[in-house]
Amino acid sequence: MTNFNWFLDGGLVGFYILLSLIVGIFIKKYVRNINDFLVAGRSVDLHVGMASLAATEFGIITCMAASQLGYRYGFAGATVGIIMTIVMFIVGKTGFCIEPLRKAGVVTIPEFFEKKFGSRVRWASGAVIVLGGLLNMGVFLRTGGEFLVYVAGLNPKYLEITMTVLLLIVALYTILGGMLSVLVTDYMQFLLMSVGLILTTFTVFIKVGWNKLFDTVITQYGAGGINPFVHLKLGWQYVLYTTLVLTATVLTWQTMVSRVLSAKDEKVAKKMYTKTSIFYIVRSLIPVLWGVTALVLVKLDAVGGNPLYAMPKMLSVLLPSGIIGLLVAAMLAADMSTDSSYLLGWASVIYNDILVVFHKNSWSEKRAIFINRILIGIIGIFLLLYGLWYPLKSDLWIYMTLTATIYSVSVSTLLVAACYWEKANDWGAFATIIVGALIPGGFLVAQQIPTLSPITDAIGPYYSGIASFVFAWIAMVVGSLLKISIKEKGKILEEEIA
Amino acid sequence: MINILVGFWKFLICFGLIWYVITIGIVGVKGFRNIKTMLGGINATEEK
Repeated sequence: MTNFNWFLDGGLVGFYILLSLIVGIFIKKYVRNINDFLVAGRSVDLHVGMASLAATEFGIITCMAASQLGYRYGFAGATVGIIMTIVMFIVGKTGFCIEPLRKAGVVTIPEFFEKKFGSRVRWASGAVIVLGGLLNMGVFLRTGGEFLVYVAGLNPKYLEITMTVLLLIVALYTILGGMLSVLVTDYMQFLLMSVGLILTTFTVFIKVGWNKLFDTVITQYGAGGINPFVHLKLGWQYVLYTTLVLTATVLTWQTMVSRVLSAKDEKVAKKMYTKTSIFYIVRSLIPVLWGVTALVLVKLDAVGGNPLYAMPKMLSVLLPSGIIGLLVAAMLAADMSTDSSYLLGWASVIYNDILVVFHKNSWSEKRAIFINRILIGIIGIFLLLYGLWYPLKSDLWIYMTLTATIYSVSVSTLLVAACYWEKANDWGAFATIIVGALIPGGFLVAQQIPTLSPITDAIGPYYSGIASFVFAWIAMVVGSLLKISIKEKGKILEEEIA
Repeated sequence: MINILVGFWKFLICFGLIWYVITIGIVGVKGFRNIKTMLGGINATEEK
């Protein structure tokens, strides 16, 4: 049973989706060239950039995953948000990596790598980015649909068709207007999403009260529920691993970096990061609060033993009609902004860095935009086939972290080395890409082999993740120095022969 | 120690929500102006 009223709440949701579509299509007339399509003509100013970054970084998937952390670990689950805020603020203040990246005037990170490591590394890193990014995005649609099933009481048999229609709307305005449509709809989506999040959170406080939330967490998890360092399932290794993954994400995640690259100049890019950094506390704390509220109100048995569904179940019974419609519209807004940015983000890498071997930057503007539109369409179809019609069998949080690790370990190492280490070269870059993908991938495979699983259980995902970063850097240093040393030896030999 | 940590989380929740409400207002007004300027700029370049 849910309080969702299909006339009042459904009408609100329908009106909002229609408005997004009209605005998104209207923007098409402003797209003149590939620069407008991919990076909005590099004319993005601070506040629209903040709205876009915040809207992109909060989707139903983020909300579901973070609320699951709240349900399982209490407020300690919101540590992710604090770490992200600190990292993003430091990167924004210092301009670490993002300043040279914006100054280079590139469209994607692999394009930046070409200047330092050559065209092969550009292609290989582009492939890794697309692989990790698409696998990561693959579960967005289904999770979003499941949220709607629980909160709005949507009949599960209509889940696939509902999410397909939603994706079609998002793909349509992204295909037509590119980054310009994404920015304008992101702005609208940020406002609606924020009002929905705030109203829902205040309703939770009024109906449950925050003292009860803290009492429940301390009763269930003890001090570990408010301190990640003493939580039995988290600890310092979790905090360190999360810090490494989030730092890598802030520096390299295409949908975040594309805002940096679309900014008017490097000053705006840095300010965008600094001023949006506090949003990450909210991004994490609000769903964690909802997850903790679910811990108070929803027994695990009521959601088939899966904590992922506890939060939407709680919202469906706690929120009154009207607020629940606003929340569903807000969450759809959040999801649409995330999907549109991801569609455009990965399409831009495929066009700019993987297909570069074919177009060599010589295609006409019209043809380039056309190919990008086709790519967005293909990614949309992939999402439908992979994410919606293929059920995910593993844990959502582990899946998200693993796909992010495959991508971020190698790409972040390459980026830092390209910006700040003169001796870094293509040998080091290739070694990093291989090691960065092998360790998390190998860990996953080892988990599936019965004879090796006791070892992987003893190591745990956090130590394995930390090891990925350490070995990626070792690979970069060893590979780069090896090439220099072999070249020097070759020179000496040539001189001796001469 | 527990009381200090509970106080920390409560402060963070209040701070985050107040910041968020203020930011919605600022980004709402200034973001709209940014969009007008951005699209106006693109239109002007096209007319030239």
